[in-house]
Amino acid sequence: MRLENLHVDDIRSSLIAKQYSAVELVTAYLKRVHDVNGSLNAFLTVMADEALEQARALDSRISSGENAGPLLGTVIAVKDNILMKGVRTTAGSKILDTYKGAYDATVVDRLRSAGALFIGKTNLDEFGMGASTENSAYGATKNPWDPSRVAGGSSGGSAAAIATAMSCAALGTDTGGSIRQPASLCGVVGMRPTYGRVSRNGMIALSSSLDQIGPVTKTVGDAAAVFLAMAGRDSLDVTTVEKQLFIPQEILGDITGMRIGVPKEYFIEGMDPEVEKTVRKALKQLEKLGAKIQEVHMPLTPYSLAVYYITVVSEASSNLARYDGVRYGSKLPRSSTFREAYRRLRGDELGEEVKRRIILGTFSLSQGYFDRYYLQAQKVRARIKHEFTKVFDTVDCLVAPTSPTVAFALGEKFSDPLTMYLSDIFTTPASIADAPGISVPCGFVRGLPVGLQFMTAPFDEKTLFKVAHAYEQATDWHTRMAPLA
Amino acid sequence: MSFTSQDIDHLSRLAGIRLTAGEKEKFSSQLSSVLEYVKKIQDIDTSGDHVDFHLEKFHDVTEKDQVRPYGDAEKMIEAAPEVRDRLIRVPPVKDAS
Repeated sequence: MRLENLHVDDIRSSLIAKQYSAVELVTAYLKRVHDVNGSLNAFLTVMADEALEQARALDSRISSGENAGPLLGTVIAVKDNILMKGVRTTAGSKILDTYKGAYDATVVDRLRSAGALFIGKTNLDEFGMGASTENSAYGATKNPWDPSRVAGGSSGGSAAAIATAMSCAALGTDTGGSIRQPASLCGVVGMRPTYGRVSRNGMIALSSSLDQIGPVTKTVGDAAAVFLAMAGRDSLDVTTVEKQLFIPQEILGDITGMRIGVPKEYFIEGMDPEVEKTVRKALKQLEKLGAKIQEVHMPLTPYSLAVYYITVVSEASSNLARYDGVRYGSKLPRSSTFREAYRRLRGDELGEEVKRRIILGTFSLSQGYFDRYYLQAQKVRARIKHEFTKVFDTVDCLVAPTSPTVAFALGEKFSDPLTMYLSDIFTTPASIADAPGISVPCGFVRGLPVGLQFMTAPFDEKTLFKVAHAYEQATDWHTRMAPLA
Repeated sequence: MSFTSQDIDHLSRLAGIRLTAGEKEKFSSQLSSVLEYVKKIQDIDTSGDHVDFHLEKFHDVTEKDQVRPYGDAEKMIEAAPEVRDRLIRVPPVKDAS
């Protein structure tokens, strides 16, 4: 079996036809992890024993004629800010070094019921704060196409794992681009669902008005299958809603007549001209497929990153107050007062980027500044959301670059937070507009992958997957595999 | 506006994070440039806008009170750094002063 060619549907039918067993499948993936992970640092925890045990159970279910679940045998890697019962979950932070999940996240539960197997937990920027995975307390994940470069982030471990077929699918979390940007930099597919589509119960919160869990895969079809298995209302996350979904066959077929908008504000000075050229070539391809490409204006786009940033630091400063050394995580140091012990624990155990963001968030929420920062950000956010609503009156979908550059060198942006934040400039608008987005591979610049981003109106994932799938099938970028170290 | 080392010190107290002198200095310059960038949202006149915290368009999603098993109580207790006889040790939260 060639792991590079395995997809959700093939695995399912091969297992049912007994071409191989789930144990053989998992063993092959574990061998790949064993061979490749050492040089990339994509996994923080490999669940070898658990995965084999799940595989044996699955094999006996298949033998007894039970073909349960659309994801039968799909091997999934889970970003390490999503809880699995009894499995170490660090969120990339020293403060959770020894923490084990006390329950399964809703997404894990749903994927398991759909027949999936779990192979391990992937690396990330601490608590999801970063665009390069360099902020992990457990070392950076390296880009499979060039290990001297970053994998992107924060779901860099998941993207690198898929690019090297260490897993069939992976889960990421996307607050401002943390699924789409690493997918772009590693040459794989990464999808952010609409806010409210997928339950965050069991996800370690970064920014509660923005966080979403989504799939990272080799193909659009695989992403849609994983998405469909996770989506839907969950009583344990009150932001989730019951809205109509689609069946997998609905994303097939041609896109003749589809109206695709190209916001001119996404082609900015300072972006890599070769990336721009590659994306423009992809637009031509979409036109050849029958889509009607038209330029659209979204003048508030340049404010998105700032709005995003104020929102995320403010909400993170509130969410992360819970790391107090009492209920979980590292132990409080002995100190004369609780206040002092709390300050010492957090000063010692949280990474620099986390501390920076908590401090800026504390500022933005503090008396005298709240109106000018957090509140103003929410007002501008509402306007940007409105701008998205308006544009989807005239087009079915938007297309843009995912990232202004290809993967950058490890260390290149590490000491300059603002430059690092600019990596998310094209992914934050959809996040703050609650819209879904997907990044698909669309070419290479200097041997490094480039991603093409599609965005649609909230809850129109069907159109999102359909256009991405049509583009993917007309090209062969998704068949290129990163060299194995 | 920019942050001085003293501003960062004050904020770090509010945030419950002890910083080293080096961190205070570094953060004051880094966060000043971030603030400079994000301040651009203030260029947009939103004086007539009401704040949309997305409350009005959602219906009440309060669930019925129902007893049901959730997670694993033993595992949740085990996760605490200091446990004795199923009790989590909590430090005194009231300062002696």
